[in-house]
Amino acid sequence: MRSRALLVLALAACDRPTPLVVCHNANCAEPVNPEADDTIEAMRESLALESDGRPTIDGMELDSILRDADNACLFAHDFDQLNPAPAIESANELAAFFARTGPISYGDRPFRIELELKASTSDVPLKRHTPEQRMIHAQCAWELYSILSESASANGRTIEVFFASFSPELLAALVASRPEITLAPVAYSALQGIPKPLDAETRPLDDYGGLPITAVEVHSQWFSDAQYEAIRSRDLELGFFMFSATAETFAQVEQFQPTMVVTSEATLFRRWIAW
Amino acid sequence: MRFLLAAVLVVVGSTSPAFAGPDWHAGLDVRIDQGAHPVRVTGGLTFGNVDTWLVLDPMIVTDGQHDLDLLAAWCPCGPGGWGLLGGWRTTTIGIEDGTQFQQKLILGVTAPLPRLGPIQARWAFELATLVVKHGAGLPTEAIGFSQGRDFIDLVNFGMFVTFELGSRRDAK
Repeated sequence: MRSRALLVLALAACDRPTPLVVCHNANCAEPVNPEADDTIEAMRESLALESDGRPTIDGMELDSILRDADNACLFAHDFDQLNPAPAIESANELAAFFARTGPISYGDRPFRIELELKASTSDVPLKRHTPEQRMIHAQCAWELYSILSESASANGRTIEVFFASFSPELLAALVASRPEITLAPVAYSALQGIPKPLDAETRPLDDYGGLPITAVEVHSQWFSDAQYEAIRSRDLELGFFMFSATAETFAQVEQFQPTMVVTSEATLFRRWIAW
Repeated sequence: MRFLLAAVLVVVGSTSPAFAGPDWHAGLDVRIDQGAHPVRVTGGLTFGNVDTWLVLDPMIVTDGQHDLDLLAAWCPCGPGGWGLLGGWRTTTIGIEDGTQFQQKLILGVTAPLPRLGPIQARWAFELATLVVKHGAGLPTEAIGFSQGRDFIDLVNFGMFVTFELGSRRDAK
């Protein structure tokens, strides 16, 4: 009897975590192809993925860039992306998905939307937002939110929208310009990727002091125990993002049990969870 | 049973001065990073200045993942000295309705640690590059270098230590 109980406990301990599977850069159909990140075509292909007769994903990340040259708000990951669509097109595409017949996500939890606001307005030379540009970018993001929340409400869908950025100043602009009435839950999250000096984007959590962030999204393989303790000590939700899942990625997910994984391989992750 | 007996005879025989074959070693491969399971079983042979290892992974029972290494080190200062490490790691990951294979090229350095009685200990630092992943009906994905996102997740560093018993008694 005792040995059977131990066996049950051992097997239960081997269960894999069940994080939300969120589509990275609106591009998560295999094989991984970063050149198609944040494009309408890849987004359609990702939304069409199915597992067990339901959408494979639990949510989607949409990036927006404010281009310094003309203050255009674009659906893009990088400044060298060819013919990026206006950011509003990405929201319209996802809003149309909410009108489909049947479920919009794999699980029964709210569809998770990550609206990432890129922290720079030009890469060569590297430029950051001016205070005016921060407000323009924030207003663009709220416009996307409005399209998505109205469509979800009209179609009886449950969604939650997380505004995410490497820039606390951009999140502050979002908080300052928040509409009085919001149809869907709103949250804010900090992004942390490759640390300095290898990459200039990541900022310490202290820089987000005073902001109502509830989550931190980190790169799964550039993540230290100290970061984990900092996130947990602030009682923040942990999310992982990655480009290509390796054995290291899966081990990190098993060890740190993030609430969500933002992946470019939705089917692989869904099948890994289901093993 | 006959195979086991033969294996025992080979092991015992190889420790006798009359045995002219390569030295053998076997033990544990231990690590704390996420490049492979933390404890694996290793064994190999030494041919002059070249040491070899085959690493098997009993921890597959814990999570359906198996990390199989075939490694070799060229030790220019002689058997048991420091060496340049190279090899291949095949990781199999159990997923629903199949197995994904992740193939990694391993390059690194290795050096002996102080001997612990009969136990030979070695340290190794590796650069593990995932070259291709395939299987389970998913599209095959090979590493690319057109932009950072193509490879940033596929190149990882790791360290491990081996603790082995062996037939060689003059390890440095």
